Amino acid sequence: MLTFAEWIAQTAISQWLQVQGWWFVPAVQSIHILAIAVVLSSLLMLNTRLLGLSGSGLSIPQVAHRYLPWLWWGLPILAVTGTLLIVAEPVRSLWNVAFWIKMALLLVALVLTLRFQGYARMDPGFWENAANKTRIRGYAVLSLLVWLGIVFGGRWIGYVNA
Amino acid sequence: MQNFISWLGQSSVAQAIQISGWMFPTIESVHVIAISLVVGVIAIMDLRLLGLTSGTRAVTAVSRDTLPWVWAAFVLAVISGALMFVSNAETYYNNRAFLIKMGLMVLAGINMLVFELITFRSVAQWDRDVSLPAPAKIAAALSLSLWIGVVVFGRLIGFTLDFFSGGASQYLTTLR
Repeated sequence: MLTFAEWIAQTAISQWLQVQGWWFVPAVQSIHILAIAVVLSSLLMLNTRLLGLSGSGLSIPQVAHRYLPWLWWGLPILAVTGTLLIVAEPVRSLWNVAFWIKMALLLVALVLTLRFQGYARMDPGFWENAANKTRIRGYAVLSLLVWLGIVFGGRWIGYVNA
Repeated sequence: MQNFISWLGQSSVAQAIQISGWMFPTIESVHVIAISLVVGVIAIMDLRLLGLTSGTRAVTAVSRDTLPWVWAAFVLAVISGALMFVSNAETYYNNRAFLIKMGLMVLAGINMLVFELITFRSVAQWDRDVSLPAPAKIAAALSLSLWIGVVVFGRLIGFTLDFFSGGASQYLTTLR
């Protein structure tokens, strides 16, 4: 992985970003954070609805319909800007335990979200069923915690050096 | 003022954060989460005011859903931001990106007050409209732009501080 990171660092685009593109990293990071704002806020509204803390008068499928597209549009923007940030600073980001913890948590978050979406699509009665209440609330808390962990992991990339 | 700033920078809280390796990044992570939620949840309200989303839902209902989270996240952002400021008070105080960010937040606050105290009074007349009166749309557009600016200049602080001076910072000296 270190060799791979060092190879990226030698490519023309990475060299340009490191020398002339000084404005590029802060600009891409700003877009990255704005996309995080979109994703986290959509998840907050979705999961607080599951917990019964917001969206009164709206059904869970309605709330999902309102916010899930924002989540799915935000994620590719995060992937693209995130990849550009790796290209700009390959060794610092790839040779970094915080980065890999973040990626592992992201995988967990994606599986959780897809499962949730599957339930929301398949069976509208699932959400009304009182027997599922604990499961739904547990899912909401877990989803929020995993996403918060992803942000922590992302911010720690800047501080961890191995 | 300068005395107060340097006193802050030498306080025991500042020293604790400076000495500890994990405190600053942890506070910063909390700050990123908090500011993301402030900006993102405010955007939900702004997009409704602009008539772009949640058109079937009353403005007051969207406001009820979003405002408590905005305030909770804002309090968290202020506390974590204040701790970061204290940890290097003089450096932040003399950093132009930081001062611009604070200025943008003051403008966002004034914009919100004008909306709440004047525009929102007549909400009963347009609560369920998709296309809202111009003052509401203008307030929403201003709010979105100002908060995006807060994020951009917030991120720039990290590139213009002496104690983080990396390759990029020499080009950003005008903001220092």
